[in-house]
Amino acid sequence: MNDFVKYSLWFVFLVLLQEFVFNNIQFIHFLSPYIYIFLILILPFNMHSSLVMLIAFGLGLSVDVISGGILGAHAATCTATALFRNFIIKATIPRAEYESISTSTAMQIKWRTFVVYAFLLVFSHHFILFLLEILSFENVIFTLLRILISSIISTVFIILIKLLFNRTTKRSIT
Amino acid sequence: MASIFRFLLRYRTIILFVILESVSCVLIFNNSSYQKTQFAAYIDHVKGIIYEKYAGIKQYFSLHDENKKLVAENLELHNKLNQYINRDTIHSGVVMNILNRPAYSYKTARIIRNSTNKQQNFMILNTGSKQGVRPEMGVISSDGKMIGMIVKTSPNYSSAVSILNMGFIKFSGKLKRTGNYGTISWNGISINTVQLNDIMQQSDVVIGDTVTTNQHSGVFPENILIGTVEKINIKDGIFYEIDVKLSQDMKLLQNVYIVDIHDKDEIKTLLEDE
Repeated sequence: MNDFVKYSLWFVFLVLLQEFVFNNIQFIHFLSPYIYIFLILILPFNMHSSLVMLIAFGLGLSVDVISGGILGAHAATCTATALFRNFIIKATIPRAEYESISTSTAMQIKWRTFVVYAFLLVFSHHFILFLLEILSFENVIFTLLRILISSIISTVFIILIKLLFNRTTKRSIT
Repeated sequence: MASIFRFLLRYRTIILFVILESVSCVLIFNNSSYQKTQFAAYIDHVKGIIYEKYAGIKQYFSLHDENKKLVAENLELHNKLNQYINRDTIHSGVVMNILNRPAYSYKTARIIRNSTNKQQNFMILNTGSKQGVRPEMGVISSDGKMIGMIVKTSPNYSSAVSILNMGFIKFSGKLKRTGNYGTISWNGISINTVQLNDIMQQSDVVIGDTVTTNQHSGVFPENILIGTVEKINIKDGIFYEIDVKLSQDMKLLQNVYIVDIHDKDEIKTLLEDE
């Protein structure tokens, strides 16, 4: 499938999934999982960081518009997350793993590497977003706890999504 | 000239980053103007339709409990009505004088979406500007407890900010017994507890005191129940921070009332003229 079509479908799917499923999950009152950044995770490693940043900004803005919260909060967060993505890739993924294939994405790396990479990216996203949402440093400990637990839950959901789609992609190849 | 281009090319990611972040910040700080646009209203309309379908399914499963509540409410209203009918026959003249013009009225609405897990929690209601709902109207639960305020309306839907919000909107509240008033805010920790601030430390507060709305904000009528005093925290400075246990379980909300205070605009213009 054409890459452009593939990532556009992911874009729409993740934004809708976020709004109509994950924004309604409220099992513990202060936790809110954000899974739509899965798209930022799976963009090819060799994609230019400016392009990643533009896509991330568009993704955040779409979530902002649909969810109806503070407009711009998710856009600002995603842009920053895209910037961090470069450093996180360099820090967590061995060079050999992403330079071996020219269009390598996070879908193809080892599970252990993926979990660390996903968690760091999710954590940096949640960290900025939650602080932006309250715009204050009151109850810092509580906010940090909320960030940490939400990051863990989001990462778990992201792993589940990857599991689900890794299987289908493998099946379609064979 | 060439060196400028080389500079721009070299740092294009950082430059793009700065531009995008600036755009985001402008959006964040101009939020209120976006909320009024046609596009935002359209998105809300589409979402309203989808959530109403979803809420319909959810509501089907809670019909039993809702019915029980309605029966109880009916009974209570019948009892109240009896009192009035009896009184009417004796002092009808007096009642007519007091009620010659109603100060406020209620509209019914149903919550089709309600969040409690965010730091700024919102509800979406299935009545909108076509039914006469306007921003800054109060929202109270079916048992008559204060729960939020309308902030935005589309033709058939409206969104209300919940009492569970950190700093987005501060409601005003008072201690019913003494009449001392302050602001209600939420520290985001428990969905059953909000904080009453700005009550002077020498004032008379006891655990168990009732906290209600006051009329100053023009959003709610006097004496709508908010909760009871649970804990009195002594902080630096001259004010208490009082934990108020909410009387309404914010997770169990379906049918609500929207309060329309009739003379609000008139009072507001007077205040602005001053």
